[in-house]
Amino acid sequence: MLTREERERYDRQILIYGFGEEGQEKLKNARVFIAGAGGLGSPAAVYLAAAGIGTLRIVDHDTVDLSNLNRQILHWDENIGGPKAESAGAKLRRLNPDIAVEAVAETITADNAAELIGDCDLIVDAMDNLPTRYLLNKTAIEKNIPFFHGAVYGFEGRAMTVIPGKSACLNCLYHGAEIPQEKFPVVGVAPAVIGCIQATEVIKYITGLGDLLTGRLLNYDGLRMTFSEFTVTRDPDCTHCGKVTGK
Amino acid sequence: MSIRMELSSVFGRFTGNQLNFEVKGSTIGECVRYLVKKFPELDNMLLDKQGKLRPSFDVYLNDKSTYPEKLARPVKDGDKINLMMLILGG
Repeated sequence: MLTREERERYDRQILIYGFGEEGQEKLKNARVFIAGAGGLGSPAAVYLAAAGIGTLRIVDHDTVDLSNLNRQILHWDENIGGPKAESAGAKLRRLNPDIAVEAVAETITADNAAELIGDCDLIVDAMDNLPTRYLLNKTAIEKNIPFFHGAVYGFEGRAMTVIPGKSACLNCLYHGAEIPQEKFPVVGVAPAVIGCIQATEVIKYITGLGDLLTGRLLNYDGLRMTFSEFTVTRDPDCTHCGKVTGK
Repeated sequence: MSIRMELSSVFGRFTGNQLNFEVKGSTIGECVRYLVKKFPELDNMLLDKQGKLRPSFDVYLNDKSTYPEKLARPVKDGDKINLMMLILGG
């Protein structure tokens, strides 16, 4: 049940055809896990908090560096040197005091991933390295919860939504490719676009509206200002999801 | 025979910012090597010593994944190849 203040706060999205108070209540009851409070995690978390996701659990082990501030909009000058999780949590609580924000300053590892995700309904992949992305993808499949992938480089970005057992997963897309983690070039508007696409997908999934970005890799090229799509099918031999059937 | 190849913008620094090409070949691999002849800097970047596509890159044919054949996939007149770098930043 929404409060009078919640009806007012979310009035404009409740007006969307098919959304209504029922959709808003679904968002209020949702628990979202955001892996990373960086370039992608910042815009995704901001818009999910503003939309009224009931519980946001945002995890990042890093501290804020001056070179983060061109894109990681949850962190400001005053936060340099402090934990990103703490900085993110403080901003998100100020943005929307009605939601619960659980900010966790921990490294996501094979030993703690399942526990950190806990009873969250879905995972937003806002990481900056492939091994942790694979780990989260695999954990999402094991927990049978959706996984919302995003990645950026320069002016480009990509996004894909994974519904375990039903659509291609991250490992179906990259087939276990191992790529060394390097300092990558990026302008802040690229993760802003992709993080917002991830947040859009999350809102659609929770409210049951629209068509998800499943089986399709969305490619955004900011220099050409184009969006293109590539079909990605499930790999029956995928070591993450090959043996999984959807509920 | 007209086969189009589109490169993602990250390749622009190696191709003088040209990203759309007409290429020739009967497989994706031949088309990639046709491009590499024009831009030799791409050779070591894209292909390993066995001539296989390095894992940092992926190739799509008519907007669909080419896994597992990748470079061995035959192409025909009118096809479109997209050559992309895997991106992982967050």
